Amino acid sequence: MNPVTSSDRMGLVPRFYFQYRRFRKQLAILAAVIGPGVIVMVADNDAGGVTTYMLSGAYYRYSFIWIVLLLGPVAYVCQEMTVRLGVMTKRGHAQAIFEAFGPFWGWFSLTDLTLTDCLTITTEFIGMTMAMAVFGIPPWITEVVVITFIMLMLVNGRYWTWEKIVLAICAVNMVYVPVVFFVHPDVGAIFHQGVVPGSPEGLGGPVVFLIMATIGTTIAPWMIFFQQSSVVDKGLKKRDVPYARWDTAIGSTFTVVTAVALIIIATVFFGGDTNLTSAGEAAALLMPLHPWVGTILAIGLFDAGLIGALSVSLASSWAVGEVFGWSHSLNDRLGQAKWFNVFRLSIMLIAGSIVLIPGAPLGVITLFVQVIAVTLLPAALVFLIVLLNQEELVGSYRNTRAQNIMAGSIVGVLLALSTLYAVGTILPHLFGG
Amino acid sequence: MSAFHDAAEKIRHINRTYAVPRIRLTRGTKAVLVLLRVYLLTLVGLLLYSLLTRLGV
Repeated sequence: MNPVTSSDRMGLVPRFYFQYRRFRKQLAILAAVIGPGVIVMVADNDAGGVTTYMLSGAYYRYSFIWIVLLLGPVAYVCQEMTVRLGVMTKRGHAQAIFEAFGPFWGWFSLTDLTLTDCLTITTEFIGMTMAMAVFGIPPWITEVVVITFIMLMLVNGRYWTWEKIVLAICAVNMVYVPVVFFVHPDVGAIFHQGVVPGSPEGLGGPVVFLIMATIGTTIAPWMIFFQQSSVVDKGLKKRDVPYARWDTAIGSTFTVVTAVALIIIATVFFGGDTNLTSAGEAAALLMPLHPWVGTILAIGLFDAGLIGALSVSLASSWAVGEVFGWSHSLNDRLGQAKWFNVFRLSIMLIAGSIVLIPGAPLGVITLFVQVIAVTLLPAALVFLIVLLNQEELVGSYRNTRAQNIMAGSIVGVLLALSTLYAVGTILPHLFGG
Repeated sequence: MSAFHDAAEKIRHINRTYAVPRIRLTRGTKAVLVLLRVYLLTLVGLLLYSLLTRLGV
């Protein structure tokens, strides 16, 4: 027999009012908790991501849509685990790895994360400078303004202020979605090619590389480190976990919708054009023909790069700060967290300098960073699964059997794809390369 | 020199602090970690080779 609650004894109108008040209260809590999940997922569609989706649309039309649709839930499964681990251990992912697995895996993860993040931030600067070049702004001015802005966001020394500014920047990332309704895509082809799973023109040529890049941009190691540290810095507690799950789910929905919109836009304007090399080039090409689409593409690309640079630089700075014992909270003022901010500024300056080197192989860096990330992702996920199975660490929030099967399957698929890429690197003739 | 010395000492301190893994690893987990180590080292080598080849070094 179910226990009788106070709402059961009420009349219809009071019960409705009670439910309404409860719903409003839950919405208010969600509004307070929302942040880490949405930011990490939107930052997923960074400058490298925008280029990857544009190229997949240009090369293979709508064929990559079903892959992106599948990757949304996959990203949710991975990121939701970081929420539980962060809330229960009150530690970032880097420190959790050091504590659980010892120095070898700790240094491996930290070095890998820092290297990948530095390369990723380089791709963010490439995207931002290309986007602003469309409006005639020189790269060095874009870089100086962006780095100054990112550092000034921390002057206030409050996590909440930082988060609200970043959420506002995240909202701009959705700018691509309304464009889809004005460019009249072929809806039948979207469903036929995009929603029905099929291999985009076999596994020859750049398909494997582009699939790896798509996975690499949707699920990346820095995201695991970022969200766990963010959850800890924000001070989320056990009671916030259900809301943090919603935060992550809303974020993954945003990221998939934006990615699909980009693929559709790329297909409409560049479908079948295998000479396109980047989203920045796409924006520049569209400016004389469709100025408003070119402008929106450029603004969106700049915004994507900015969110990426903001988040990725934080992921490794938080990680290094945790391990070295530096003050590393966004609630600290610039001077209080001196080394944390020096480290963050340094990786942004290094990344920015690479972009300004004349003749630097920026195209190769852009694609390789995604591939390196997806190759190293299985390790980060294996650690996550092992940690989420330690009852003494996470108590009742340990993984269920179903969660272990899902996460294990994801690792298995990623391992298979990584191996496929590795074999393709040594024996390229196997895949027709 | 002093900065390098301090950094080296800090790293040694971190290594000492985390020298002993603080979770119980089953035999299966240990085996997975060994396989992962071999797999990653191989892949990192391949990626570096591929990157250097593409850059024409």
